[in-house]
Amino acid sequence: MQGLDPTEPTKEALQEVICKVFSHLRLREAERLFLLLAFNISFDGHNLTPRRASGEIYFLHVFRQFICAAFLMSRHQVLSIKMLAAILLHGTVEDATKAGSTRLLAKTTIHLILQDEDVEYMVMCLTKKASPKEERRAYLKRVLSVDVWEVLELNPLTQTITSSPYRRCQRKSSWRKSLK
Amino acid sequence: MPKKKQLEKILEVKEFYPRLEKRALELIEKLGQDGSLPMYKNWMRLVEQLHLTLQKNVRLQEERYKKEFASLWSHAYVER
Repeated sequence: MQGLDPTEPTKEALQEVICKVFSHLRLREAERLFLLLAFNISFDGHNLTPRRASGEIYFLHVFRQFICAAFLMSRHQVLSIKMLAAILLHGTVEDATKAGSTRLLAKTTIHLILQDEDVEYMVMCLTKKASPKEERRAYLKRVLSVDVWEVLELNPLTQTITSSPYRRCQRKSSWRKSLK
Repeated sequence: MPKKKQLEKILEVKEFYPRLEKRALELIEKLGQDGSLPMYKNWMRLVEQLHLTLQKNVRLQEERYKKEFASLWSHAYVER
């Protein structure tokens, strides 16, 4: 992701990066298309989501998690296209209201475009309930009770990155300034 | 996110993730022995590696926040 402006990456620039990931993973055409659809739904779904504290667009956070998961799978010589799609989409339904849409619309979009029940199930398992608002503890307990191992591991997979490299650079430079 | 809330999140994660890991490993092993999950040993290794990284991250974050809290307390004490 070098050369990308962390505050304003375009969809095309991110698509270029994702295509490089696809060739690294040696994906088939159908798999590429499936993940590109998930990428597009997620990017458009997060388009109006407020920026993160670091100033970067929200989608970049999801994208980084996707890259990290793809790298981990490649390192262990395993691959799950459905898990990768679920990582891209995991916040789409939950953040729909923040992005000026509705949860139902986001869920229907995933259902109609991807037409994959497994991915839809994974995304819905990872989505915190809205009414009544689900607390983190209750959410984790609910995830723990699911019998699908992919769902159990999707949450940790999305937690591997705690802060953005951009934020870490900012933190480092402020730390350097304080030393001067 | 306020620092206190972040620390609470870290502690919850610290409590729940070993349980998630244990359960996921059990399910993967069961599926692998059934023959319905190919390369299940690689998946198990991935899960273990993932949780090791998470544990390390959580430990580092916890130490960082505790240090920050400690410095906040010492400042408050000096001011008083």
